[in-house]
Amino acid sequence: MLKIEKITKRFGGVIAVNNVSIGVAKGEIHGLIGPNGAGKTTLFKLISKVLKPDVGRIVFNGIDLTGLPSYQVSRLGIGYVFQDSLLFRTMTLFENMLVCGNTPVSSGLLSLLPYYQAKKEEQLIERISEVLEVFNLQGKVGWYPNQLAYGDRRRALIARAIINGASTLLLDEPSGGMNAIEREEVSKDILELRRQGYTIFIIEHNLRLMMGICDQISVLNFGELISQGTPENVASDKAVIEAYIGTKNG
Amino acid sequence: MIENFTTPLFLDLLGINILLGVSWYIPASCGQFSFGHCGLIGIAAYLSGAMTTLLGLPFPLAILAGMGISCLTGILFSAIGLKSKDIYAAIMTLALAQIAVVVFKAVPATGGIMGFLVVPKVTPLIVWIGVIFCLVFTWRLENSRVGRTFEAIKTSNIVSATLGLNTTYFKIVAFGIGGAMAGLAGVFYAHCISWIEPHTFSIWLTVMSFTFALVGGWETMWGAATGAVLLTFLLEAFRFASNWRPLIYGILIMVVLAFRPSGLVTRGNVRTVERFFLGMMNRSFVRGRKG
Repeated sequence: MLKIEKITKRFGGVIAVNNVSIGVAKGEIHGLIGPNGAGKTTLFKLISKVLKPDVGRIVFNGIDLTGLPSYQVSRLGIGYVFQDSLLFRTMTLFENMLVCGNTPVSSGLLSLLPYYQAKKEEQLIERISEVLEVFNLQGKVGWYPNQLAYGDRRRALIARAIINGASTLLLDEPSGGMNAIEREEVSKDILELRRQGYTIFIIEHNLRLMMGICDQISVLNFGELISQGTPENVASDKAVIEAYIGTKNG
Repeated sequence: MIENFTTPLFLDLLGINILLGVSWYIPASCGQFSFGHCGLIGIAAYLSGAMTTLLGLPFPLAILAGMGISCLTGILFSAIGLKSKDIYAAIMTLALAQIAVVVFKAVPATGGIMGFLVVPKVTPLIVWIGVIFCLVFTWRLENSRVGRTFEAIKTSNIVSATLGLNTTYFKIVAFGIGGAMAGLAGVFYAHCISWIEPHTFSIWLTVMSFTFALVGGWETMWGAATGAVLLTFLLEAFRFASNWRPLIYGILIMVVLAFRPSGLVTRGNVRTVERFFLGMMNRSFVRGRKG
């Protein structure tokens, strides 16, 4: 369970996120929508502690994340999949999967010793193979990010978060820049992840996709939470329609 | 001129320069630029020189002490420097190195501003054993999970942190390893040149170290090592124009940054060579099985 409680973030005089409270239940797909500049990505950065909130707190599975650095939040099981494709460009797909701080294999200096943790290393490689197979990437382990199709890069980012032990995925526009067929594949992947027990908190501009897969949707506008509920309720909410289409007065 | 390239002093300096380049490369491989390298080298040179010459302690002990003190100082530099961000952290390491030079000048036991004579202890064999050890260690580091983690942090600190990597810890580790290697270079330098003075450990030494890596390539350790070898030979060849050395360095940096920003040896080059050798090994393995 992820609970965002009365969180506020200011950048100078601009209030990017204003007194927002959202609860994401375990195993659900929770959508976060809103016009450009609504504060959606800022909220994800606050959850993953890339940014620190000015006011409010975030609680994950009963643990208060206030004061924890980003890497410890990740180790608790929150996987942030960035909006921009951020695979490490100088590493192959397989090497990208190995760069995780939350696997049974140590990344510390002891790993320099020959044969140290060889058994665990084998387990990790097995896990990587399993996850890459789910995402149809198993034949591309030796490829560099610039050789992968855009959709594959996005899928690889989700795969990396899962290999890193994430139980809750923050997906920032996973279908951004994709065509209709690729978007369909992404929505299938997300539903499959939910079936496997992952909690998904997702930002998307494609409302059709969101209405089709989300259990709950929260809507931000100018940093404020203006609506929350099931997709049907949100779709008929006057405040949401105004935020997207505008009022008669503009 | 060929004779110049085979003298014990040249071979010692060649090895020491490789150590300088590689030791600067290690924190750089984790996205940390050190301008305080000269201080790390100087501290090890002074401590080891004082141990062998003034206290009469064995040379191996001085090597360990020199590497240890530079490793710890590197950790301290980075721990203080990382309180700031990016270029400010690098400038802070420079300030700390300048403090070290002031301390060298102030200590009467080591000759103050005049410096002191160190009993020569190294031979090319000792230096090159050290160089090979450091190269093998760095190669192993580069191809390990730690090396990949360094690379990830260099590429994106934020993404690495969201993958559960304690980026501050790894940066400090990188500085510590680089510091230990710079310390080894300092110990060898003191016991090869036999005369050390505060002036030797000025910013010029840092400039030399990162020029090796910049010219040779700072994507892999082979780049830093290649840069050190090329520039050492080049500068020896231009010994007659030693006063123009800073100019040669400046021009080289500008030319390389303008036409080949990743340096002469890139990660792609190293991978091509690795694939070639792996292919050769596979072919000979298949031939062996057929035969």
